[in-house]
Amino acid sequence: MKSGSFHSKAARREAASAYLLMAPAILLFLVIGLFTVLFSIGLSFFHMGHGSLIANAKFAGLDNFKDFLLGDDQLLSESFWRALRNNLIICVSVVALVIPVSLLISVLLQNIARGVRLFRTLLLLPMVSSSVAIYYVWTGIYEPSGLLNRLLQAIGWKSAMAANGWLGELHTSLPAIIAVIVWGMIPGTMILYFAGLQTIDSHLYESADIDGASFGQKLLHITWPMLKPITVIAVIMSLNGAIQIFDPIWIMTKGGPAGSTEVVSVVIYQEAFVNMKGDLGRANAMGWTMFALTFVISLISMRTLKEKT
Amino acid sequence: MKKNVWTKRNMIAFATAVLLLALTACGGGNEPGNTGTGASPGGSAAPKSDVTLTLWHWKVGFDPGLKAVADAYKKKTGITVETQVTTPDDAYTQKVTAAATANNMPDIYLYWSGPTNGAFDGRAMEWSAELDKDPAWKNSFYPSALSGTVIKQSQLDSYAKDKKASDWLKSRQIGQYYGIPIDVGSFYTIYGNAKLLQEAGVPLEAPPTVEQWLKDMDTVKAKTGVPGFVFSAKTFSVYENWMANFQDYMKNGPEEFTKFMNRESKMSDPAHLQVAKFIEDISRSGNLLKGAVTLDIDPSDQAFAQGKATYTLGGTFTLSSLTALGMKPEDIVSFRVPAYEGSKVPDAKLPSFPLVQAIVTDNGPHKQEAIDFVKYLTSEEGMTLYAAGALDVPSVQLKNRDSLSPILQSMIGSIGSEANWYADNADTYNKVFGAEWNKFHEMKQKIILGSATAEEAAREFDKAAEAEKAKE
Repeated sequence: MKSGSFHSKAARREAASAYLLMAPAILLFLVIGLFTVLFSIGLSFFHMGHGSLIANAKFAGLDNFKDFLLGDDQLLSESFWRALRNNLIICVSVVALVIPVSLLISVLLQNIARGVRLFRTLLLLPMVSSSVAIYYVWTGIYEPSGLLNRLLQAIGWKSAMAANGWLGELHTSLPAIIAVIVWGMIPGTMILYFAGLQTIDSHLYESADIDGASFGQKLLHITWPMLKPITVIAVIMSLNGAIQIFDPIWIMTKGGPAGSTEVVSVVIYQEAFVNMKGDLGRANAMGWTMFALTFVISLISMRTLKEKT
Repeated sequence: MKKNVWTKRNMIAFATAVLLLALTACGGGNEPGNTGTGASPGGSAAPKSDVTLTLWHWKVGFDPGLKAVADAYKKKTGITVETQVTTPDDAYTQKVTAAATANNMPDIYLYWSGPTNGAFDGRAMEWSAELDKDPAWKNSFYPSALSGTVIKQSQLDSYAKDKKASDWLKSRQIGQYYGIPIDVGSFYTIYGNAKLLQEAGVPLEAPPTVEQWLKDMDTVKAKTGVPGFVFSAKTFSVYENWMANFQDYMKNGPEEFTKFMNRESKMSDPAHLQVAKFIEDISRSGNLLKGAVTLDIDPSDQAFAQGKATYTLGGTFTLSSLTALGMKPEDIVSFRVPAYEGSKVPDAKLPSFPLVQAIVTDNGPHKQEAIDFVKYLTSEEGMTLYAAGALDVPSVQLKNRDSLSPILQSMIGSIGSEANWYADNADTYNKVFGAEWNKFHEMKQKIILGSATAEEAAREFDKAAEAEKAKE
């Protein structure tokens, strides 16, 4: 009994010291993390005009959500739904391009005999470069007199050139942005696949070689199934990145021309900080709507892909 | 075991220290910007002071001018004024908004001019008593500078209609000032490349009408191959607020212009269709530089400075950018945006209005010193130092401009010193920031890219204006 009491006291002391050690982190989370999150949720139910104080915000009920979801504010609603459609196009394109390309490059690099390090370094460059500088470089490439148009002119494909620049035409601006996003996401996904490839037992490939399997058959029947858990993570990461995308679009097009590259994060930013007639409450409401959507999409993709693994 | 206990105690002590540190940090001070410890100098005669004022702004180009004023002020009073620049504009807006929310404002901050712009529901001090106390100071400003910062009935009407407007805004009084203008300027200015115009044999004088101006563009294009016009079609409000609204005012006169801005007249009406038609004309004729929809303001100025277009659209502030980009002043011609044939007010003077205002935090620890500094900044001496350093047109009518550069002297000379209808009705022309104009910006880009006509753009604008009107 005495011994038990001693043990329970020691356990309590142990627990107390553990809590004390965790306290700074918990405090920081409560102040910076949880408080901000709760505050933002709360604000989404209030009107707060540009230049007003939060203390003077006016209760709006569900008005902010109705404004963009149900069209109570026709122009904002049009903008929101168009931006959401662009977000979905980016999501689908990114997943459809990033996953196979990253996998293919990783597998090819795994199989080449010489220069692996050089190629890996080159391919990882987008990850270690300053993204803002890179987006400006891409903007230059896409200009009417930029590298891409000059290249097309040089090879005699004048009809394929974009007269107003690749970011300046309604039908090329979004694909041009998607190309940059895909280019930026491939290195991160490649690292995941590199790591995954190291875990596949080489005996499987040796057996396949003995059976006379081709490169494609090995990729399809050994590599792909073995890397499915990695693919689940890669898909979810790509989806999250694509839904929350902001920097390249804001820097390269600000959502234009004519809203053709507008995504929800750009609409939110404009509503909160750019539009003098904007409403910080509505911006928060759109932000939480996007969070809910991201959460649902991630959940669905995780379950779907896990079922198949 | 003993060692373990000692280590654990040390860790607990360390964690406690970190916790206390975090709590202290989270507590914060309630005297933001109070970096000084001494008492107020009690007037400009005091030679020494350990008071330090903090001044926030977002204009890199203004900093040398503000620093020159701060240096001179320190020599006079001993008070230090530290300037802090935050760019770009939206980062600055976020910083000031966050500081206002946390009640952590600097002593002085600059903000875009407007009756309650940057007032943050009373974080800013109200200046009418100070201005009334010193009539000489009040009268030294350009009339348009002060009329653009004072609260009028029309602002109160607009706040009353706005569901987002706070109770503080709704309870403002006519005649209140929440900022002191430090500069004035104007948009509605066309800059031309004199060399290209001469090469094409086009006169350097201002074209009398828009119609003639379009013909001049055609001539230059035919003879030199250079497109006529470039402006930042990527940025909302450059065309709408720097050209189209003023031209509509000239074409239709104050009454019809007010109706248009108040959503009571339609853009599809022939009286206002020119707003969209101009964009269609310059796009279809090939006079708009290709890729204008991808250009921000600076790249657009750059394209003009590089001789890629004959004319560009700007304001009084654009000249310094063009010279900084390497253009010689003698190679630039400038004129007010032309009026359309048959305009009702074709000779409207270039209106000037305040662009940037200085705001003093109402509950700042050194409020009186901050007021004194703003008064010094907007004195003859302070404004001369500021204008020379910032290459900006001051808000005060300087008696002696000899120490300023010739370009600046000429810019100051071009500013209309009299208040006029347009300058006095900022709340009318500023309706160009309404949601329907955002829609027009989108349609304008579609016109440029050939996927919409002027009529379609006007119809979309009208639909949007109607929807906005219904919400009023």
